[in-house]
Amino acid sequence: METLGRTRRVVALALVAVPFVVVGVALLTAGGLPDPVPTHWNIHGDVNGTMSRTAFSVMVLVVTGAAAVLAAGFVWAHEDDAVRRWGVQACAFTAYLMGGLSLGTVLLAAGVPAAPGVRLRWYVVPAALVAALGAPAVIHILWPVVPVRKPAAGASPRLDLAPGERAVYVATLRSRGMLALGVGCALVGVVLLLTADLMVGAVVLAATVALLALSRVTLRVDDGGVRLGFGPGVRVRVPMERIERAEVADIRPMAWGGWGYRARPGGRALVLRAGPGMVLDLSDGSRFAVTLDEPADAVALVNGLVGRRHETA
Amino acid sequence: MLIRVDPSSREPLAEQIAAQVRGAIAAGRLGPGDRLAPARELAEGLGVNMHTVLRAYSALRDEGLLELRRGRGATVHAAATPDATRLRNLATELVTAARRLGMSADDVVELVRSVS
Repeated sequence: METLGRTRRVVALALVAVPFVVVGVALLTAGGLPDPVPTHWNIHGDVNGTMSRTAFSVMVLVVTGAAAVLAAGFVWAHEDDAVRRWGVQACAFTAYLMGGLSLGTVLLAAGVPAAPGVRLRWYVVPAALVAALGAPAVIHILWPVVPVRKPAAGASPRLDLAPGERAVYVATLRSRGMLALGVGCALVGVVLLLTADLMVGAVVLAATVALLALSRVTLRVDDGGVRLGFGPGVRVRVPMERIERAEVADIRPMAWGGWGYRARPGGRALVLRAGPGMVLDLSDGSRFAVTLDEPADAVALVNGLVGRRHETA
Repeated sequence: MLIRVDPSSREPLAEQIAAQVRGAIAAGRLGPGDRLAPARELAEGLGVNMHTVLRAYSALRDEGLLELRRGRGATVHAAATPDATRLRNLATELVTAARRLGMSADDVVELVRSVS
């Protein structure tokens, strides 16, 4: 079973590498490509953009090759199978779109003496799109269905609360890593805004805001549920009625989709580092994880509030 | 930081909150320089007025356990070590017990002199 799943994953990764190989062979064997190569056509099929033959070949091979390497990296690094498949599918989309368009270009341009003589045929772009959407679909079917292994249950202490008693747990989670990344991003963004593209600079500054919001997160547990506060105004809530149980767990970032605030099919997680944290089992079968230096008090309070809720209901 | 209050208790809410912070410092769960939870978060979570939490924090500042700074919130005072805090808690207990017996502060001082 395990080896069959492995074979299927290897086949899926091989599929992602196909555009790199096919385009590489096409570039080597197609004699007489014009230099520069046409890379863009207007709506009437006339060339309005070109690239030197070397730059074109390097760009195409780097993009398709990087997609294949990145796909293998996803499978290697991530422990969550849904994240692995999603990563491989995204890489396949990129590789097949790029590969399809450049293969079309190579086939149309081969033997034509100069770029303006290359006419774009109507079927090239639709064919590349079909390949780009078809490959992820094939990978979806091909990907092995692994039964989700339930992790060993961690410690699940419970605080005993009297009927009218009120309790709150508050912790501020700080991440120096996110702060450093955010500050670095801000500097790059400002430089880009001043020297280069406004659009790229704005995107980098938006990433800065997200990183700084993650550098200081407030966690609160009360009888309403568990709440994360990111900077001023952005809140994520898990209502108490959706929580079934809390436990202390060792959180490995790659089992939860990586660092930061992650939403995956199996659940959501705020991961600021590897190490201890609190994991909630929710009523819809998903899980909610948050890294926390000393999770015992928070876990005990959640379990106490859930227990009291069930006893009084 | 975990804080519990019982609204049906005769002890005022602010005093209940302060007692738990005192206990946490005495037990070493909160050490010098540690930041306390923002008063607003505690108040919202407990369903009490924010001034109640702030009253607890200022009482602790007056006892020398906390430092309150505008914009930085409440932090545990550098001198608030577990031993010093435990001793202070014992003194508070002594005075409370003495008051119940109708003794004045001077009577308590006299009592301490007589046993030392």
